Amino acid sequence: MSYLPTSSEADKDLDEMTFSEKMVFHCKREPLVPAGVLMTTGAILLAIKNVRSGNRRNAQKWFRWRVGLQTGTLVALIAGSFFYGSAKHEQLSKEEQLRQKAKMREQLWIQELERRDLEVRRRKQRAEEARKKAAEMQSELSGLEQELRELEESRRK
Amino acid sequence: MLYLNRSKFQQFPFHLVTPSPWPIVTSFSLLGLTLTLAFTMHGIIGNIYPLLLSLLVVLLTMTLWFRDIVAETTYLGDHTLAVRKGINLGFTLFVVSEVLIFASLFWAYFHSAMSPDITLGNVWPPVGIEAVQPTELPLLNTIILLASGTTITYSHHGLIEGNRKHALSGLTITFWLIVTFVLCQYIEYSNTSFTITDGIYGSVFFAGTGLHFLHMVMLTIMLGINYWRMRNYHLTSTHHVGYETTTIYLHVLDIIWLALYICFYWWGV
Repeated sequence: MSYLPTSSEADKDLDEMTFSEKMVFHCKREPLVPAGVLMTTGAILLAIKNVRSGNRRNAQKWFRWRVGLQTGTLVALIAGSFFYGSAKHEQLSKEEQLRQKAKMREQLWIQELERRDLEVRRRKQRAEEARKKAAEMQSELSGLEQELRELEESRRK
Repeated sequence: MLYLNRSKFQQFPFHLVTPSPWPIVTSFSLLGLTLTLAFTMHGIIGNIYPLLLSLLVVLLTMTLWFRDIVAETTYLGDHTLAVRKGINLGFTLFVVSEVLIFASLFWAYFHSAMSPDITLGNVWPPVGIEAVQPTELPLLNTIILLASGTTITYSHHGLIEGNRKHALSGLTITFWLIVTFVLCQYIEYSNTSFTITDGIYGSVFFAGTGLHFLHMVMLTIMLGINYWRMRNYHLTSTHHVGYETTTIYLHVLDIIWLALYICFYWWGV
């Protein structure tokens, strides 16, 4: 099957993703976090059920599970961010990132201008050479014509 | 059981509480709050004072209602099993409605975030918006809330085991943790680069986290009342409906915060 680009392309920058792509990407990369949220919700539902039926000890047990699972979820979230290095990226302020981007763009633009300059210079050089060549050929041609005229004159005599 | 002892307990599930004016009064004050809120948001009311007045009326009617409830359970002993079941059911429905209102706010957030239109620059967060950094104050807030979950569970354990000292100290720590959370949120809000009125991002952000903030303010009041009641021996190890509902309220708000943190602060930006 031919290659089709998908929304979960690994080389796509996080800044370039849309919101839903970001969410799907994160959920796929760190599945422990959504799973943790769901399990925490399950624990609190069981706790509420036990409070309503008056079973305090079971409610206490599920409250503990709630806190434990939420701790796990938070740890997974932070660990995931450290592991994938997004925290380091975030430490640069938005402004700093923008400044870096602007500097990079400027650099690229200067390179592009230099390249264009070089191209123009080369073209000029080539034109100069062509002009020289044309002048050379012109002088050669006039020499030949002169020779031809001289030959014709000598034959008439 | 001796007749004398028997008379101290209510062994029948009758619904003893008498009709009360407060539900209907609270309903009307809430209607007033909703209308003033909507009118203020749409600029029909030009200042904030009617809103503050409605809020005051709601707080007042709630105070009177809850004062009656405390009197009915602690001084009249009217909270039989049937009444407690009714309160529990009512509170569970309240929690469900809370979850639904947060679901609608999440919906609003996702609706705007998933298809940012051209006026936002087709990106989320919109062009020019500097989102709050998730690893700064919001992370501290998340840890504070988690800690409050631990201390309230410790307090609950103390209460059902009949350990007054543990129950009280757990409740105190929880109260101050929630106060700290509210203060941190206040600092975060006053330092954001966007406001609730300058665009869709600020609107959905402050609507979602701001409603949670208001709930947290409410939670400090509830925890304070529970502390006062526990200190005055209103709660026993087998009969503490108000305490249990406060605990559930805290845990549910904590989970809502976790979802807010992941979607609004971390993965969404």
